[in-house]
Amino acid sequence: MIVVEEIDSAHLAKNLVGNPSRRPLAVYLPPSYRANSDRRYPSAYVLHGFSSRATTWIQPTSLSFGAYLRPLGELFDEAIAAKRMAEMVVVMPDGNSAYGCPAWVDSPVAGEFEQYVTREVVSHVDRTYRTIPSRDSRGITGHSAGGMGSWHIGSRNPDVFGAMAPLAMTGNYPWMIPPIVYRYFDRIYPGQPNGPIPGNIDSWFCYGWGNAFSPNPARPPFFCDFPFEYPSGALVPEVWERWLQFDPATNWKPREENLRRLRGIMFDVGSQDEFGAYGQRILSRGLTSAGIGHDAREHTGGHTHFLRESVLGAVAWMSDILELSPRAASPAA
Amino acid sequence: MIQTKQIESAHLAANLAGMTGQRDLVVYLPPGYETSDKRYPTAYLLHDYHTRAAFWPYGPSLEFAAIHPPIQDVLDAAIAGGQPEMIVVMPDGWGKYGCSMWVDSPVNGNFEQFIIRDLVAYVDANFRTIAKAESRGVFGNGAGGFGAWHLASRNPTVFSAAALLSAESNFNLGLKSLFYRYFGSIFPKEPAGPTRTSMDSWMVYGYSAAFSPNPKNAPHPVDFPYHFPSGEVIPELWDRWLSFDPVVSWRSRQDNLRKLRGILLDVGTRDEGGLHYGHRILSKNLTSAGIAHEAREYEGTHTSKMYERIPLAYGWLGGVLAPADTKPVAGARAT
Repeated sequence: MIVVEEIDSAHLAKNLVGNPSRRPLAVYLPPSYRANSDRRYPSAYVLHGFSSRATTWIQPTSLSFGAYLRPLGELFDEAIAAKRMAEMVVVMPDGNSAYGCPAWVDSPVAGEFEQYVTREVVSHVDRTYRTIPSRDSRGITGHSAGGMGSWHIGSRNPDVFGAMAPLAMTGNYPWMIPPIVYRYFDRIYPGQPNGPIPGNIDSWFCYGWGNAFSPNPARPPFFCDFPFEYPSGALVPEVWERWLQFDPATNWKPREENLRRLRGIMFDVGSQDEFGAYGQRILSRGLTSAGIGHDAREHTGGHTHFLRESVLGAVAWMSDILELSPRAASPAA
Repeated sequence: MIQTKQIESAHLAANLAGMTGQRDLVVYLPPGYETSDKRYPTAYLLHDYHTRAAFWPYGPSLEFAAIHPPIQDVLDAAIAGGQPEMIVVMPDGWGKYGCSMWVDSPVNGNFEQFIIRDLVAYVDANFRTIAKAESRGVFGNGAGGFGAWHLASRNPTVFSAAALLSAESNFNLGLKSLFYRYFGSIFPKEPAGPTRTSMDSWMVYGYSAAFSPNPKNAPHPVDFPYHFPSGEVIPELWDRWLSFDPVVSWRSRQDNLRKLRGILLDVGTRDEGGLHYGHRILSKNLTSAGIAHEAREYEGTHTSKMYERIPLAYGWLGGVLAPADTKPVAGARAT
């Protein structure tokens, strides 16, 4: 069963681009939830991608970029019936912003999405639903920008989430980002940058990620700096450094201690991902060299072809990793 | 204001896709609806190939790299900008492989019958519509534009106006090349159903389910109008496809088209499927036959200006349909 409610956020109210502070929250309750009024369940948080919303996950079957999308609730019901995953509460928050999803990070321009998820959504869910309110029974996953977000939040908040499974999270920014920005520059030359352009996804990435990685509240109307100068394309080192701090391929190093505290780490990406599987591979190589256990998976396909199945795989994986029942000794997070 | 309903149709229950006859129905009621006793003209809005009825009221999100606003915001703004108030009815047209194309098919269900019989009767019985063809129009984009053409050009006693936004047309250009692209992408493997890495694969099966269904074929109950791998046309099947093509089908429906209050053709000049040529050919043919219509073009692709063109088409329909009946409805009370 899916419940959709609207919750208010103080952390998202602080933004400069007119983003609403009231957000939809979709919650999947497993089959036995209603009948067992005492039972508590582990919870999985699923973060959506750049072009989506909380409610995208639960919409009726449709097609997107050739992929056949089924509502997540149906996939969970089937997997639970087939005993491929344990019963869990699955929480789908909303991370949409004016120029696309800002990868669930805190931004003075787009809003404080990390605080929103780790403080407001988690406490609302634990207050409202029969979850096991402990990091050992709480995991986070997400796809694309949600993969970036689940990495970002999971690697920085081990007291909140005990496991993470970023999917198609992108990364290896020195290779991935420049062509996107250059394509946008080519699109507008010789005009001046003037905000996202309908029909041109590169332009949305530039402003959406700019709002996330190099927000600049002193620079209306779009409130961000670009890591490349227009029209020369010259690298702007101080801005680029800020972007690189969000690159999973390298930003694991200062978070090693957090990562070692997790019960589990899993990655999954399509080997033909348009943003490259390299970010995940480089990150996996780094974690291996540091002796940090993780499960790096790849599947055939591009960025979105097996989107819903990879989310199901991540939640099913979590149900093996997390504590499925409350432990008397377990301190509440 | 948006209302989401469920509607049951025996015409849809008969299908080979294992779908029930129950469908989402999204209905937009204009700002004055709740506080008046008025009856309103009705515009039926049909969705495109890959989406569903339930997607209309949801948003805003990015779709095709453009902010996709909730449809109620788009329509509220059009009305605030001076367009007439109408009820907008958004049915669900999903079939086995994507959109049903809004035609009758043993694979997907009989969507034309569903709309002209079950849906129109349901809407007229449950909302304060002006329940006559003169005040009833149909519009849509992509597959929905095709559906608007199909329904209005065959059922002028139900719909008196159609607005086609980037409607599927001129099949000899876009849909023929779709098959060649698809064959090239799978060769030397045989066609074996839609795959995750190819939108084309969904469309060849989906269009075939609409235009050349074959319930005897399993597991995919369709015929392709082109032979694999030679690409040779199968004339009797391709002729069936072309009988649905607006640039062909107008000829046998001229009498119906002349009964309509209006036809709008609206398309971007950079449509990826070349649908601006389909619209131009249709317009040229209609003109040569003396069938009144309005042909508009704009700078844009198949979807880049979708949410600018929908309110324009809504406004056009509002100007063409017989306007709101101001007589109070006997027994009706504002709530």
